[in-house]
Amino acid sequence: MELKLEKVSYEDKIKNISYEFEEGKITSIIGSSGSGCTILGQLLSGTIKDYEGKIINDFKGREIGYVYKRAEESFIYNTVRQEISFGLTKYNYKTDILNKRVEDSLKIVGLNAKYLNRSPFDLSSGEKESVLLAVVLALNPKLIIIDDPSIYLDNKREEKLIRLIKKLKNTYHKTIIIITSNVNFALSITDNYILLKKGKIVSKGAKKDLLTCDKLSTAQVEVPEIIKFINMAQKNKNVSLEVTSDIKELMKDVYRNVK
Amino acid sequence: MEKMVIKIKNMSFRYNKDFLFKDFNLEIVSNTFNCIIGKNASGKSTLAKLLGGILPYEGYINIDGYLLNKSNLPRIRRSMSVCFDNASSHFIGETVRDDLAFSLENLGYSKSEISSSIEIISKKFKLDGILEKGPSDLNDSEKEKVMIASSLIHNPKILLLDESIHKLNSSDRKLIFKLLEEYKKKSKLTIILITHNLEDTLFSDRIIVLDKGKVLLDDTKEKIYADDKLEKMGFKLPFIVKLSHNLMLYDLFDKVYFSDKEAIDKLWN
Repeated sequence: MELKLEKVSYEDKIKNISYEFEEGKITSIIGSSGSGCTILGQLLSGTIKDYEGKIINDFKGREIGYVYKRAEESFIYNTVRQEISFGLTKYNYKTDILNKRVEDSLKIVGLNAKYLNRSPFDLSSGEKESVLLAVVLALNPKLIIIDDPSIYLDNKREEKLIRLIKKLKNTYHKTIIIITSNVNFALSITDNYILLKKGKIVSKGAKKDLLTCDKLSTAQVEVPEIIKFINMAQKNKNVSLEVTSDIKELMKDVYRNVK
Repeated sequence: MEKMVIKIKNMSFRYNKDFLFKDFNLEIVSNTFNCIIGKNASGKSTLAKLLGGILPYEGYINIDGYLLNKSNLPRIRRSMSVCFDNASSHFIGETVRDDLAFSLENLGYSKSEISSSIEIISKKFKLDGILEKGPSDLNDSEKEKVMIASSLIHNPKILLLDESIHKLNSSDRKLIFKLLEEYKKKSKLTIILITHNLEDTLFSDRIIVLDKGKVLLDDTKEKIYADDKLEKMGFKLPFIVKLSHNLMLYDLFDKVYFSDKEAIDKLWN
């Protein structure tokens, strides 16, 4: 399955982007608000059509699942069951098959069957995020685009979400695109990344390249604290520390350098 | 003696039958920077809505000398600005300039006072380039910045921010924290920041940890972060705190540092 952008531009928001997404991998589109990340997600999902350039996308229609940001605004039904069933009803499934798909997708996101009869509006933000994902998974998409999943999650929820997204890749072989401004989150999950600034790609590569990417500040994205620390030690004291996102690795390096 | 700007006594609140807060007590000292943290569903956002006068409560809440009730709400809104997590719905005016003017018009400021206030605030918050723009032309970072600016333009005594700073880009975030410090110092502002990002707590004088509607911990950051109790509760510690704890284990540090620069100076001087 191919997903490729060739010199794609849209209004003044996306400027001449070329990039090929890897099938079966997690790619993060990183950028601060206003950088064009969400617009790029909409171009990939086919919601925006009047662009310039070429988008080759073998994923069609229901093969693309899009998890929007701001969970509560997209819920419309009184129960989680109705919410997840909604997308499926137009495909004329038999009731028992439909119910099984609803229950299975809720199970994949780690919520038990008790949630089926609860109101989506009364859930915590982490549970809402999980239900939104279940709504998308029920249609069994091959490509999943998730817009800003980590923004309101506490540590435990975030770790859960990271495990879930990795499971979707490793066990269910989904191609996953994550839109985020959180570099720490991207570092804990991604295989590849592109960094956007004002609609342009200013950096791209594999996860290890993200660690040493020097364009984060100019792209107005928050540099992870651990990387700020390493950079400051290098600059102020001329200490050579290996750039890492793992505090244990940093500790070993600091210990070696101080001793 | 310390002056309390917010007093909550024996306050209760329930969704349907279940109590989220039961006989809850909390006081906020004037001219301090307070962070309220808690996991998802700890009650921290409900507390913001209660203080903002949006939800009904039982018991006693006093804000800046006024009992929190419907008839005192206009007076309380003058003393305390509340920002929630959705900057778009906070926006009232057609343009940023209108939005900034709105709260001042309500307070009866004259035209010339309004325009000079807008000039001052837009310089501080670096809004000059976007004053004539409407909400749909702003990105999320700009919206949050405008929301906070319009909350501070009439110099309230208290600013309550409920997850209102998470879409700020890195330079706006830096600016906002610098300005909050400045307002605290020069205008004696009391700040309450509700957040799930523990990095934010490094700016605070006091950290209040909520869990299921109860205050679990309430202390200075020095005391809260002296050991790894928050980590054991499932929170992700600020990087510099986590690093300090590790270096204490290696006997390289004898205390927790709160700035990279101090930590680096200690290690390599």
